[in-house]
Amino acid sequence: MSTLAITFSTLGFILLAIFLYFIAIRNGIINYKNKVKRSWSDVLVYEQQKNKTIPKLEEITKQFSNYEKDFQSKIVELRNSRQELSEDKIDINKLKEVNQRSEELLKAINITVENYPELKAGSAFSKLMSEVIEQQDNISSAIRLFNNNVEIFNTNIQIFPNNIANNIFNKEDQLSMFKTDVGSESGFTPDFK
Amino acid sequence: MSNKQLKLLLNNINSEAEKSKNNKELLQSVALAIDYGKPIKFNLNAAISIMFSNVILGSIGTYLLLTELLKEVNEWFIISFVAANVVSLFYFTYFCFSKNDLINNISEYIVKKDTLQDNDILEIDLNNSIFKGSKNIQNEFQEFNRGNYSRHFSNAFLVKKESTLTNKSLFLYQFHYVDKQTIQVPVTSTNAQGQTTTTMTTQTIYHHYNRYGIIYDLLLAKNIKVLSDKTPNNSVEYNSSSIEFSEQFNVGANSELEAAKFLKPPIIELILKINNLISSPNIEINRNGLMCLSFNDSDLWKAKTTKTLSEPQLFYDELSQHAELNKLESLLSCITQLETKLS
Repeated sequence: MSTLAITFSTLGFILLAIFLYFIAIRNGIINYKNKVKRSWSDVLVYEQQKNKTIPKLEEITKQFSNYEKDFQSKIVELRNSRQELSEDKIDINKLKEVNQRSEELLKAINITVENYPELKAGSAFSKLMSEVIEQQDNISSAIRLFNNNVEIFNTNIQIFPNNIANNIFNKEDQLSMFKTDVGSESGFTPDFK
Repeated sequence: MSNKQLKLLLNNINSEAEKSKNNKELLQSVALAIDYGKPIKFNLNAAISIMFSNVILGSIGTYLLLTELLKEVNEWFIISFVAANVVSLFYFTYFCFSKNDLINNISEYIVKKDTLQDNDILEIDLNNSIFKGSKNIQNEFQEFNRGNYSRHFSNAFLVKKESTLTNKSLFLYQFHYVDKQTIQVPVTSTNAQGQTTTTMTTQTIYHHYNRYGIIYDLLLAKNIKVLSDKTPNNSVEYNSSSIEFSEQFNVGANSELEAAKFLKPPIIELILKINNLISSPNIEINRNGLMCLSFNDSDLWKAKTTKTLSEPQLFYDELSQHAELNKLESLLSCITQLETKLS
């Protein structure tokens, strides 16, 4: 084999190795993005579970005469906000809104409960409340895991040489993390392509 | 104080410590060293002098051999002389270390006993437990499928702490396993004609390892494996949505639903917390709900101490304090949380 042929074949192998390496990075980015998507849907699943329990709580508290007037409207608002959350689009602001509304509703329930100790003592109410607390705990954890995934994903597309592979193949933008401080968010809501 | 008297004192302390049933009695055994009023240190001056002479005489012998100054003396006599000095040097070095080891070993034993007593941990007889015999848990968990030569439990303890969520038994164990490896080693030899030949010989090496763990009747989940250093042999491999968790652990279960039900976000977070606390953790829950949490950390039931019997008063003061097992406490707290989150 001539020297030229050896040089070209060596160069060819090196280029092939680099290409395969970049393909592996590209697939890694896709894999991470899918994990972020999945953790986002986990958040939504747990939100949905909580929202199934809240109307049951409402039914119990309704029986009391001094029932908060805006209670029903809070539930409707929460339900509407929840419906706007989609698995296809990571909408951090909407999630914040849902969380805020759910907190307001729980506060309203607590106020009602404070006025009616017999309600608090009821086993059905206690059971539902502990269910809501558990679901809230699940949501908090799911959000933290989602944030963790977003952080890993963002780091993954920023570091060298992944940033080059991302610019060539994936063209993914950085994703926003969920922060409880609503005012600090920029309103950036990336769409999954 | 002669070395003989000191050895007698140490043996006495050791037997008193062995007999002790509580911290007070254990401290009384250490008090024997304080009462003696002299440093707990072997007099090694004679041994060191002999070692020093060995070095000088051995060096002189080697010098004579190399320079051939004493031609009239048989060289085998000098070689024997040097060899005798080297052997003597090794013997007295071992002698010095063994004397100090005696003090350290008894101190270690006392610290271990004090730590176990302080933390309500009871050392159990392996022969009458789940760690040996027909009820042996070795077959229950994939964790113990290690060591191609031998495997056995070398230590086991029962934790009686009230901090555990329920009154269920919680065991700590040390698992020892040996991997046998056969390798081909090149051996170079020179024959009478001065020709060197290299032949391959088979050598057997035994690698000794230890794993540690906790056995607990969790009962709230079944047939789940969350392994960091093995691939589960369950029928279904589950992939969690957490990137960090998926990179650290392989999850196995009998069905994906079973795994998904167990791995709720708070449980994933808790397992990641456990992973930060200990190295190479494996969590296995068998068909009866018995959990085996295994890891590499050997310091779970060892309190950090700085003093030994060579400083009796300081050692006594250190033992008088409560021996903190922070890592074990954190791990027990994690198990409690796991139980709370699963219930």
